[in-house]
Amino acid sequence: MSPLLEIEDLTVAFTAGERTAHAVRGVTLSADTGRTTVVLGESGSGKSVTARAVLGLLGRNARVGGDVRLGGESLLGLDERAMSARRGRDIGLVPQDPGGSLDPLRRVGGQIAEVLRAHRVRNSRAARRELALELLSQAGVPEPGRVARSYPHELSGGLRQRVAIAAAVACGPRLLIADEPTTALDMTVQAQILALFQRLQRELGMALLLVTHDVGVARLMASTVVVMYAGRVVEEGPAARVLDRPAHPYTAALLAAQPRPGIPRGELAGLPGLPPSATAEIEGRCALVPRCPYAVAACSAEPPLLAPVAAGGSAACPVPWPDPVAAPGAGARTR
Amino acid sequence: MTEKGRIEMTTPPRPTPPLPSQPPSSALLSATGLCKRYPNGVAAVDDVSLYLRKGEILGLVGESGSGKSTTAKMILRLLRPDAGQVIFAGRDLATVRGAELRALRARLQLVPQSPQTSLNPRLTIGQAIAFNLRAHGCPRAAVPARVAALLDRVGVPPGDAGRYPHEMSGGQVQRVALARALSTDPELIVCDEAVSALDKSIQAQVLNLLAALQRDTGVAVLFISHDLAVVEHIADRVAVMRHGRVVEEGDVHQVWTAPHDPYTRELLSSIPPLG
Amino acid sequence: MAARPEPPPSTERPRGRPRRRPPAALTAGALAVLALALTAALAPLLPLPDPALGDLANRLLPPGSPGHPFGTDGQGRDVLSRLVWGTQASLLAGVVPVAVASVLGTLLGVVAGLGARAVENAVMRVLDVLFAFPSVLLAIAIAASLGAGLVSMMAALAVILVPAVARVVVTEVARLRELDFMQAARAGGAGWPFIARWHVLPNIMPAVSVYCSALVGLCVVLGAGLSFLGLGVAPPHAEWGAMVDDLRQYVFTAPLLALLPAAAIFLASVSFNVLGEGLRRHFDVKSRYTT
Repeated sequence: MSPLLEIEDLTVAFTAGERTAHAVRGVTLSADTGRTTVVLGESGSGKSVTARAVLGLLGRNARVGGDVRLGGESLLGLDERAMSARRGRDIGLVPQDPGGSLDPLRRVGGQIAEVLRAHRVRNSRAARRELALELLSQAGVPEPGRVARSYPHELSGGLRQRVAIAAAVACGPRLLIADEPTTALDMTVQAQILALFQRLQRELGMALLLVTHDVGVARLMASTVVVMYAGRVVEEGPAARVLDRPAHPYTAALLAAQPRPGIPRGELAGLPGLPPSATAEIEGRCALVPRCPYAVAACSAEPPLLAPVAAGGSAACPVPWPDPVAAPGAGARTR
Repeated sequence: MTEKGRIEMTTPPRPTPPLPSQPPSSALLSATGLCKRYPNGVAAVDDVSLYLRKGEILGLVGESGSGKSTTAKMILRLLRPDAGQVIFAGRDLATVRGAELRALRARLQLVPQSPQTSLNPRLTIGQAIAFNLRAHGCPRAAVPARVAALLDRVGVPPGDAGRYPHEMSGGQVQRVALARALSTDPELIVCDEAVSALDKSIQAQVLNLLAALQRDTGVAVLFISHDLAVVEHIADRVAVMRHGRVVEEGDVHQVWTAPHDPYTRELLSSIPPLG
Repeated sequence: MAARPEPPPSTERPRGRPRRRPPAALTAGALAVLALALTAALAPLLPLPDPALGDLANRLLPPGSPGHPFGTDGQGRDVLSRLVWGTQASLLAGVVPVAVASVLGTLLGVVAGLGARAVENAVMRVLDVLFAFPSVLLAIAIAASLGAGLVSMMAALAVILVPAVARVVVTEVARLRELDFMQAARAGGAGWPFIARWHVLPNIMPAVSVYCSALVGLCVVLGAGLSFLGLGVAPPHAEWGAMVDDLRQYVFTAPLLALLPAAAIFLASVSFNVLGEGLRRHFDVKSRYTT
């Protein structure tokens, strides 16, 4: 049986005047029920755009190619009305900044009830109110009654994110997309929200597509990790394999850039330079070339293709290279 | 392996709570009993004492609202403390005025947080550094060469001096902010979440740069961050703040491996596994 | 000044910043204002009848009359000539007070915004007092006490514009003050003249110049109003406001004639407003360069 969400060779380009920004340059990934797929990448990698493409929230000047299927049904061909019926009901979204997704002028309980009304989950006002309170308490909100009567600005960032999560799972979606859901939160609150995601996924049996830049979050949450760079997938596979035995220099560099005990001060291994901009022309070659210490001539001439890795998953790097994580000091040093 | 670095955290607390260490007489900066209340009466900073030795990196860690930025502003004399005093290089900052204050402040520089606002959007990056040089009396003729040298020192091509901040990446902007701070040969740099907004691979570059600059110049750094892992990497000592108070202070590795305060332990256990 | 070496040729991506064409509004506004200025400057050279010389035999000729394309006024003076000559006084009345007010207002605003709390409070209270008077009444009072004439009119207008400019500057500086680079500059020991020169002025110039160019339009109208009340330019001299006053008695008998000076005021006002909008777009650094 095929996975719940299948993204196949997705491309997204934004045009503004004569300029075209290639945000996503051919991404294939899947997310399955009961599992957490983490899309890991830095800013500009196209990870958020990929998530938004699933929801059909890219705006009018986006050109989308490839295919996105949910339960076998292609989403890209759907019109706005059919798509909005699926948003919220089949696919829930937890944004990075709950402040932006909650209406500042309405009480949060009413906003959850509104989601329920729009998707006709409950037909009476009282039943919707009751369910909203239930959802808030399921999302770990203390005193759901009081919180439901609050306006967003009266709540802390962590509580707002819990409200946003309650709204996202209100209609029992099959797929929950979380776009950097803890980036704006304090560390201690982040830990609580991530635990909430884990619990909800267990209880509701959803597929979770979690977008993050944080390797630690990926380590904590992921069953499968998809690493993106410059709009492409450079490596994917079981979380333990990808994060412990990376098969792509970029993944390795990302892991090595994380400060942690044992690394002498000022000796973080990383990559020099910057990722290519979305307007850069990188067709037919590996986007990491100018930054990669292991690049050979072929890297600039051949399109990087995902090839299976022995220990699971696949990576888009045919060059044999020493693993800087396994051999500290062998990695590329930045100055 | 996900438990690596976390096992130690379960170590039972040391039996005696370490009192805030007394500032050595040789301290470059010592802040004692700093207090600041918001207009509504809530204490933003409540009796905070810190010190920094010459050439030392002190991490100041806390979550939003812990008072760490307010503390930094009082140290930089951007905010007047309600109580307490700040002694920098042997002088009480609150009592110094005029030219003497400016000279003292040249030795105490700030690297701000946001790549979007740490540089003036209407000055080129060369002008941003030239400003600080001119403000501290560098002769006009010597400025271009100094600007080029400083840019080169932080790994920005001197040829980029004519570019505007919005044309640069976040990492480049923070490098320029570092160059600007270094332009007065300071003895203390306050980095207020200076790498927090950067991507990890860029953050690693800037942290390496900061470490190298610190090593070469011997400048002391007050490194304010919410990220304990970054502080563990870069700092010698750490002070953990919560609700306007320093709850724990000490050698960074000791605090990391054997935190005494329950809040520090909670903070450490919240860090996702680092690998 | 800063180092501004030419960027070296780069292999990766072009470093040159192609300057965008100036905004259309800037070009249009600048051309219109230039045309007005030229009209004022060239008035003595143009083959026009003496604007002060009346010919009672040919009074109130309609526009389009031979020799008098815009007609003549109640004393038989050529209206076109009076409009052209009037540009001088009217432009002066519009531009000089604004120029004076923008310098004084910026100075006050920057001092208030960067100075100690006590300085800021003192400046703000003085501005509040000035604001408490209805500005037009204040201008009339000042102009009346100084006696009629172009100079006293300009002085009166400048006084009432200073608090308006200063208020804009104070708001802008207060916003800037909290930004990281200002904090870094203050904490880093830069003296306030340096901060004002390098950080404040470049950042408030867009707002101030836009606001001031809009004020020029307002000022032309106010100046016309003062002349209309007899507090501006003395009668034989041409000024648009005085012309409106003069011709309004014929608004029913020769309506087209009465409208002409009003139209001139309107055109000048629009020109400066367009220039202001163009300046606003031009000052937007981020759109000036391609990114």
